[in-house]
Amino acid sequence: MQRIFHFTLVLLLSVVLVGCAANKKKAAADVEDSSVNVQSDSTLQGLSSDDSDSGQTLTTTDNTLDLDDPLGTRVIYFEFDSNALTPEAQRIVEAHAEYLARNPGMAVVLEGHGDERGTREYNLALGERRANAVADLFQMMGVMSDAVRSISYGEERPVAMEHDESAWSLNRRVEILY
Amino acid sequence: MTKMFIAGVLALVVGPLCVSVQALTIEITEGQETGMPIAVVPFQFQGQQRPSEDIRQIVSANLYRSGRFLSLAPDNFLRHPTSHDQVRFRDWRLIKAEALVIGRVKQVNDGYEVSFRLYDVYKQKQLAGYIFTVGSGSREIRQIAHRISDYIYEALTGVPGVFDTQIAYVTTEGSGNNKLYQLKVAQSDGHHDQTVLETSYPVLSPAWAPDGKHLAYVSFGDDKRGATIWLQNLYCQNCKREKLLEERVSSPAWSPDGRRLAVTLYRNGNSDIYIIEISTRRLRRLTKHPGIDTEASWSPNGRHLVFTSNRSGRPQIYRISAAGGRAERLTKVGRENLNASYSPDGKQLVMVTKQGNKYQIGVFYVDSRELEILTDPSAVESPTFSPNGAMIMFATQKGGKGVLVAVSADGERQNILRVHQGEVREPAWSSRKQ
Amino acid sequence: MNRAVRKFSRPVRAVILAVLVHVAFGLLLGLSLSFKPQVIKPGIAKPVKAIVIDRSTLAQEETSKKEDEKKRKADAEKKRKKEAKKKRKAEAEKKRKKEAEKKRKKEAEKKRKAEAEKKRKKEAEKKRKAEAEKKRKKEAEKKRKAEAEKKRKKEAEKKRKAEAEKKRKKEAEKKRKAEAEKKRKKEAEKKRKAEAEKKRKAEVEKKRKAKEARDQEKQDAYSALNSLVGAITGKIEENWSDDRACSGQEVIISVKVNISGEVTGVKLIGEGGDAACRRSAENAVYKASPLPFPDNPRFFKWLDQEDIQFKFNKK
Repeated sequence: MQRIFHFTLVLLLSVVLVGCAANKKKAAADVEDSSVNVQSDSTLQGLSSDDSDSGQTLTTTDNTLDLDDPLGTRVIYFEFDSNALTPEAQRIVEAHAEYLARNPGMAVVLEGHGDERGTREYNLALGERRANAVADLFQMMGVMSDAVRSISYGEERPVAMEHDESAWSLNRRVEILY
Repeated sequence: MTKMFIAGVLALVVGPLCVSVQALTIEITEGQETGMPIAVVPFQFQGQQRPSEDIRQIVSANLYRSGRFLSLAPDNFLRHPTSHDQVRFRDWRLIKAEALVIGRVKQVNDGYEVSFRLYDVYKQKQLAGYIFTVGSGSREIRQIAHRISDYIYEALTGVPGVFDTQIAYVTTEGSGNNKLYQLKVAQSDGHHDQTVLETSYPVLSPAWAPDGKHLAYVSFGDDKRGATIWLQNLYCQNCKREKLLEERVSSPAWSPDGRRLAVTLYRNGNSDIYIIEISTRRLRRLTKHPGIDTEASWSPNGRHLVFTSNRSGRPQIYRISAAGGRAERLTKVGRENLNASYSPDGKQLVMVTKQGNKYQIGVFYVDSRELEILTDPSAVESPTFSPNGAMIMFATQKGGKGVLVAVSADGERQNILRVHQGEVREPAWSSRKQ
Repeated sequence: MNRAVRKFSRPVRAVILAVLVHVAFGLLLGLSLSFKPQVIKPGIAKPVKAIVIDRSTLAQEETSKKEDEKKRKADAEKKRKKEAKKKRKAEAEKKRKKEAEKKRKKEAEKKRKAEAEKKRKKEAEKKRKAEAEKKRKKEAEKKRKAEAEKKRKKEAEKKRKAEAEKKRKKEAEKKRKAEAEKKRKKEAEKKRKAEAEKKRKAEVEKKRKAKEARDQEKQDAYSALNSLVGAITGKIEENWSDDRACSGQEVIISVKVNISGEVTGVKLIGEGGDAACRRSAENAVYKASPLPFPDNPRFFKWLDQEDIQFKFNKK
């Protein structure tokens, strides 16, 4: 109980922050990718980039807040180097699975993450497996596979920047995004 | 008579044992590891407009950074010779310089003529001498200084130098959702960087093609599909970068012949190693294990790949034939071993290893299966050998910031590369000379 | 050495002696041929018409002869004178005389012949006597001679014996002397040998001592050098700046130094090490010069024989 309370509090705060940040972010979103100066000699030239990489913000849309409702929890956490669902996580995932099964029109994105320890590629794969663990459970519970998309960001999108276990434990997560 | 005979025989036998002493042999088992003392004399300048870069300083710094040289301070030089006939070897023996470099920069039309000579001080012999013509741009002048450093390095160590090479790396600026990622390519000392890509999405795993012209790297698309690999020709003015595959894929590694990439595909909830033919995009699966298989890297002869797998519980390094088959576990020591890549001679692997609670850079000897720890425990990632196998570059944290470190392959001398604003990570070292 | 010479001298001496003897004899022979000696033979006396006369007759004879002579002479003179006178008369007389002469001559002749015969007989007698005398003399002589001879022989025998005795004595003396000489020589030889032996032993001892001293000096030299090994090693290590060049390699360098420890020669031994490793090792040696080195000049001649070898081996 205590734990859920903490989590929702954190979620609240982050939502607030994100909300504020979102405004600022909008201004910065128009940053264009620049191309590199072409040199007159035959060394490095033509370093250009694609338009598809213009700035994107990361937002959460559905801000349902219900401290008791597992559906209100959109993040589940994992142990180090593990993609196994804790009982707590399982409970939350199941709630979402049920919801999705009841609402076939809804689509969800599962974002897998890991803490900064280890290497980036490994953590990318680990995040992928964590997201898949949730997706598998969804599927088992009758959610249509095309309603679910999993991607991994590895350690690239941490929520906590410190270099200690409290930060790391927060980063080892799957976010359920509608 | 008999007595004398016996005495004589005894003398012959015993004499050598008692009094003989062979040539004295003294074993010398260690030295100073300071590197060869080398004196690089300030280059003479002829002209009006001095070059924008101090060639002497660049050469000195390069040689020192390699860990094999001790660059002597010019203040201690008795004389500053700039031509062959001005050289007095005695001057250099006095300060115990083992090698001497002198040079000249002469302004010509739209650039400079740069020449240098390298001497073995104690043998009193010239070892190398070259003359170059360069433009006046700072980048070119630095590049000539790197090339000169390479000539000197190779003449004195027998190993090709890697100063005139390029490194690719990722920098980040800002934090949180404002974070900006840049994929950059620079000279080996971090100077004259050029941005290949700037994006707000994470960029990782840059990998040089053997031709030194193409880069493969991982980035995230706007389409929320996750990681994907891009190929980019750095020397093509109007070429756009191309996506390797339309599905989630990461961890690119070029084959030694440049025709294939080993990649990690995320299919059916599993990450496995595949080999893709670049020209046809044809895929061949290499690993079939349900565990995580990623971070593949080719052996220099193209016959094997090493990769990271957690099939035994925690991540360890495995080796598999490029033709496929059974994977053999290589690392038995250490709780975790990840991100292995071969040395240019194929005899060693550099990797990230976890012995206690922290990660360290380790050098793994393929034959003896011994693992040598190179660095103190800290947060380290993505180690890579220099193209001559004499140095290792990796990313770590210093003062809370991400930095790149170049260390001599025996771990003795560490140098932090010029740190940009923000943080640096994911180094990749190209072997191609400019 | 002495022994050797002596060994060889005996046959040589014999040869020399032989030659000398031959030469001596030759000389003698030569000398003997160079003048004719008087050969005294006991000759047989020529038979002399000897008349046996006794001494008084002989004296009478002698005197009568003398008187006859005198007389004759006077007669002759007279005769001459007479002759002369006679001559004149003689002429005439001559004829007569001639006839008378003839006759006288015949008579004289006859007389003479008788005289002669008488004389002859006398002579013969004389001769016989003489012969007998001679014979007697001869006998006497012979006897005498025989006696003399006997005497002489006796004398000779005596002499000979004496000679022999003398010779024997001489021989004995000679022998004794020779013996003495031999003994003396032997003694001398023995002494000489003893001396030589003593000398030789002294030489051997001297040599042994000298060798001992040399060996000791050599050992001391090497000890001195050995005690500096730590310092030398330290100095080389101090100056081996690029030891990384020799990672896993081994290079052996042979170094010559002068008495001050200054490196005067550097030589690579064997095939170990690549160019960079060898250079780093050579430079370590050059820079470490002068090396700590025993500065005792007596030691240097030993240490100079052999080089110091440095085995550079960085594991």
